[in-house]
Amino acid sequence: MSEQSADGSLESVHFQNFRVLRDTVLPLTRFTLIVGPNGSGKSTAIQALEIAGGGNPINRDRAASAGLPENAEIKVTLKWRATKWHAETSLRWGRSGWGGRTLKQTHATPAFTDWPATERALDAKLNSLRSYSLNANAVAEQVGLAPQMELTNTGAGLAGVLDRLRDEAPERFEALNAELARWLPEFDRILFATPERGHRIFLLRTSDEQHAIPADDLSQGTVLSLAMLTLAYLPTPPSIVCLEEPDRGIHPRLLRDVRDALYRLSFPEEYGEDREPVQVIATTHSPYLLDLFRDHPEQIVIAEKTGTEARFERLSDRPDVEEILHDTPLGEAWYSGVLGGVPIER
Amino acid sequence: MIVDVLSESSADEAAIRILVDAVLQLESQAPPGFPRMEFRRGFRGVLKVIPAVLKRAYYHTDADLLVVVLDSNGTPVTEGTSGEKRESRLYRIRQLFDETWKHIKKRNGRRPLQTTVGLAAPALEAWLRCGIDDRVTEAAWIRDLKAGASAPRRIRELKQAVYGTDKPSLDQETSRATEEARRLAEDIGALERSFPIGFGSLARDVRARKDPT
Repeated sequence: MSEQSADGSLESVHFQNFRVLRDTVLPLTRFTLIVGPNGSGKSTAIQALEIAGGGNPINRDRAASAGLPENAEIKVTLKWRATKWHAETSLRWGRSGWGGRTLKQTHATPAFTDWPATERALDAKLNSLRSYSLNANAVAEQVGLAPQMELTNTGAGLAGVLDRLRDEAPERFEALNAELARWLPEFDRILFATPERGHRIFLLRTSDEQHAIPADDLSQGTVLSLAMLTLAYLPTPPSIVCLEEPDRGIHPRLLRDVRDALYRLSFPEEYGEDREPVQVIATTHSPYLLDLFRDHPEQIVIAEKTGTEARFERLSDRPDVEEILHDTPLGEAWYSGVLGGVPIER
Repeated sequence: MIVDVLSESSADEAAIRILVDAVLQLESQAPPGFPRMEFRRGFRGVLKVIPAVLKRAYYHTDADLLVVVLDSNGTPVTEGTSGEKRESRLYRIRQLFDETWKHIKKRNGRRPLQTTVGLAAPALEAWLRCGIDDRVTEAAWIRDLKAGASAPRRIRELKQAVYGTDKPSLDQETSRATEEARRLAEDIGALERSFPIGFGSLARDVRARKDPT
């Protein structure tokens, strides 16, 4: 599977008349980090992907770019590429509203004949898409146990997910404990408690005094770090993960570990994992996180807003990128504005 | 001997300490205090913290030596006095040291603190390939750079060669970098010969601090 366009992975998303994304293409690789000012379409792109993944479609009025004529179509096209075939998933809003999601094959090599099976696999992949905007309070919440517990969009359910991981994949649970102790040396183990029948909370045990600290007494950065780490250690993570600000609440010194956790999802073969890669689409406002991707400008997308329209541009597509980054950290170059993707000056 | 090491990542710092120890032929100690950098900050990032690191090393530790090592990336690798000199990171860091020393008030009884700079061309991973790939030398890189070679591309190739991936985790990076540094420590002269400007000058400074004449 190549990095630039993994077999059966999303190659790009073309937005037409979708809110602030009037006509622009979001290029994707296995891992993509979008940077840009507020209102530049980062979350809007993720919202469209959530809808593509089976989330509730918004109505036409909310989906339409400002001032869009009533008869104009709103369209979001997800382009899939594999060695033997290309395909498109389209979301449409017509004059009468939400028109649904369709999938069609756009290219196939002569040797490729099994479109029905591929179609089912792509539908399954898209339906497993999950989007996260982690919230520390939600992550720390007590959960009612249920089969097949998953993290919700805010990270709620973590205690149940960890409980399931301990029971179903104990070796992964141990690896997660070891990695947690490396990230946050003040803790050495994840523990559980049952505050009431059928419910769980998680606690972290301190390394020195062996005190168990309940999740809601832990710092926000600690619970958010654990949620990020848990995602990276799931035995069967979602095929596509959208993450709003994975650096949120996490100390800048831990960002290299956050990057490694994200790479563990996207490049499992590099981390000794034997599972399918996860296509990760993340957003950030952190120059420190951005610094860590200096060697991979192909993974960075700059979101730029001009008036009521936003556009995406892959950093490696800029002809001047090597010159600009000559001896300047990537984050600093972005923050200074020379790469674009910063708030406009008043 | 107390040696403080500052570089572009904690993995680089761990490897550099092994190389410096090989030159000193002893096991140096790190000054007490918090670890400084856990992530790559590049040349400018290091440049910004040098005054603070030097002042801390002088005022708040008993460090004998502060070693700074940077990647040259696409900048000239020279100690000479040509027009390239001002662009050389060796020159710029030495200038910064000189400037910072002007603002440091000497303390009676404080052991001398020597500062020295190394320049890995085009990146530390080139040093780590020394003895494995004969094509990776300072002279070869200087020649390639003049012929228009792309530093980011070469660095990516070097990372791939050293770590087996161009996206190593911090653990992988530290483990492989220190493993290669231990190999280089067996014959540190070979590294000095292959990288006479960037590592050779550092080694000379380090020896001078150990055996002042």
